[in-house]
Amino acid sequence: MNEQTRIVMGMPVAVAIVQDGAKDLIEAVFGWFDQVDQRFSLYRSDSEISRFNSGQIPQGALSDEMRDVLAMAEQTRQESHGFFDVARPSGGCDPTGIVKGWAIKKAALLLAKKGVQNYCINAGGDIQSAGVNFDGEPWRLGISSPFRSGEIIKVLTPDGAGVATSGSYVRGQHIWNPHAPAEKLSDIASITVIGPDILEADRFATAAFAMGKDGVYFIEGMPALEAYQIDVSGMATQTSAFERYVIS
Amino acid sequence: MKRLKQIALFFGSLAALFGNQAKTAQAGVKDGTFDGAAYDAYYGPVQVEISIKGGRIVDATALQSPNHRRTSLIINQQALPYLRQEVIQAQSGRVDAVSGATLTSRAYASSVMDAIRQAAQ
Repeated sequence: MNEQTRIVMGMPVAVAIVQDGAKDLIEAVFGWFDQVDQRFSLYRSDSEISRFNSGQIPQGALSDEMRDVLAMAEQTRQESHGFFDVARPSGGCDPTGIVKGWAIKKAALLLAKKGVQNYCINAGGDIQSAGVNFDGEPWRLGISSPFRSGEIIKVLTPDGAGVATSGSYVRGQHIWNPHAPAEKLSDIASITVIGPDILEADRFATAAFAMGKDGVYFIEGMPALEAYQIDVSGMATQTSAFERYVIS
Repeated sequence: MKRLKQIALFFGSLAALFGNQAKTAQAGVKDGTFDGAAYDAYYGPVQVEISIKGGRIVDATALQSPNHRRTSLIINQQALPYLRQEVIQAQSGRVDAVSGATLTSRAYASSVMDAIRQAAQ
């Protein structure tokens, strides 16, 4: 079996590797995701991020992995004009918006270092693939409808690019903001971003979604990124070169 | 350990609330609508609202938002380029993987627990 799905970091993670004897490689990828969860989970009081937030670890004693993620978060905050921000209103920091993409990218690098050319890693709907699928054809990825789970509304061949979707949950015509439940958050149901790798796609999908209807225009202005944004009425807006990834 | 206890309590509460078509209302659980706290997850915050009637959960709805911290708009509206638009349509055909925003089970369970605690007060 060269394909496995497990629940890690509170989400389904699917790893597919197209070559013989992939069992150990798949174990190595899941082992990596477990490590990430132990270091970055806000649900574990003994995780590095929890101990950092509670003042048990000084900034100077942080691991290289934590520094890497926090530096990337700060870079994204600046590039997104503050729309992406790991600072929590309650104090401390919450880098989880960027950890997923970072963890997938590192998992892909782990496979590449071991000479794996054909794989697909899907962590909670954010996907890095490379090479070809089990039929020897380019990987085909679907974009899920934000309104009906299980319905595919676009089919893409990312050709090695990363694909990430950020979205909210639609309830009637309203999207709710937990920080201000009485306020309508946005007219956008979801935005899917294609980037040079999954980390780029993920961090800019998160930032663009926070911008509401302006998100797709923000991505249009970023070189090497494309987006498909869906509003609550089911109308989609796409960046100018998105079409080159589309099969149907 | 705290996590295990929470999970046990969560399923215990759900079983008590949904269980066996029981006609008797659960003692100490108020009818009404209760919002759990928002829990941070790898997808962004997750918040669940539950409705309780006759001592049972009759509805659970996710009220969720992404990592949304700022609301001010920086982008210059006048410089917006024309971008292609279309109405989304269901596509058929095989795909290897699906990209979409998904609820994280852990944050969802935590928020439901929180709402149940409020109902039990």
